[in-house]
Amino acid sequence: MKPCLFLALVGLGASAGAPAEARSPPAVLASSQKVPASVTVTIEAFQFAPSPLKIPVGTPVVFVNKDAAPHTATPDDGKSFQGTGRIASGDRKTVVFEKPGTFNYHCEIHTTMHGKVVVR
Amino acid sequence: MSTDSPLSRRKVLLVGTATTVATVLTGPSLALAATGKGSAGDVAILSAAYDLESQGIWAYGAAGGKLSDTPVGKMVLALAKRNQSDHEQHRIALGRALTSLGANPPAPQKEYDLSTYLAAGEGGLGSDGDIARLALALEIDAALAYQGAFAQLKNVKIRTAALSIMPDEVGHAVAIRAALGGLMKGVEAVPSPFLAADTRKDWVLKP
Repeated sequence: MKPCLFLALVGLGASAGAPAEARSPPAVLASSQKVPASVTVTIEAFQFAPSPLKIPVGTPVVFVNKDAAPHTATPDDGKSFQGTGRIASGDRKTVVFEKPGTFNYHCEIHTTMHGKVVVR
Repeated sequence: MSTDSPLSRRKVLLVGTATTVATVLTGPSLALAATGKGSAGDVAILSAAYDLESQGIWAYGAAGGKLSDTPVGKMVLALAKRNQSDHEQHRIALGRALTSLGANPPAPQKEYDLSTYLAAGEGGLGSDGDIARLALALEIDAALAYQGAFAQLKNVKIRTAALSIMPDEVGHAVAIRAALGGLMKGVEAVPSPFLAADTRKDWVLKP
């Protein structure tokens, strides 16, 4: 979790300090929006909520496991973002979505559990 | 059968037929589940539970072929077959509950990813004992998952029926621990007065 948080801080800092011409192109409308400190996805009763989650680029997403059993949030394609790995009951893990796009994910342990993050 | 809305004669007949079939195939508790009333959340929970049962059936099948021909291996295999048979019954019951809600049970996967268990040292495939520990972790997590999720089922009758599966998962875990207790010193069949998220570590066995 620490590396993710570190990435989040670096991302926010870089965004704030970068010259205008180095920022994302205008087509990425959300990049001009204020990036939330974090957004929470709750894992409970075999479901990710909210889903789909729409966020600006660079938003840290905190996955909180409220179930008694462990879960994961793993990208469907295995590579589009760094999965959480196992999240034990009551634990949380943070993923920072650094690129725009639609990211589908699932729980490795419970394959019917699916979620989606839309980054703009 | 739902009591909060009138049912047409046709629906009563359909529910009655489903109830009879459920009673014959899966026992009286599941007969309660054939209500035709549910929510998207209920379907998600039951679908995940159905898939967990498929995972258990697959895991016991896959691991069973890796057990040794020793007395220990034969003992674990006998236990695995017994537990696998129960999971098959659970899956039938959950599938019936899903169907009663108008949903299709999820197709079983060809294989399941258990890498998080292996990475956590909660069993493996390298020895009979490792296989038994892996089965133990899966059974415990099934019980924990059901404990939390089934309690949130909106349909009361399905909730009651589904919760009857959970003690069986705990029974599997206790049976595995009892078997391992004969092989490993200090392993009690019931290691804690509670089975909950914060006592999971007491139930799962690591080397």
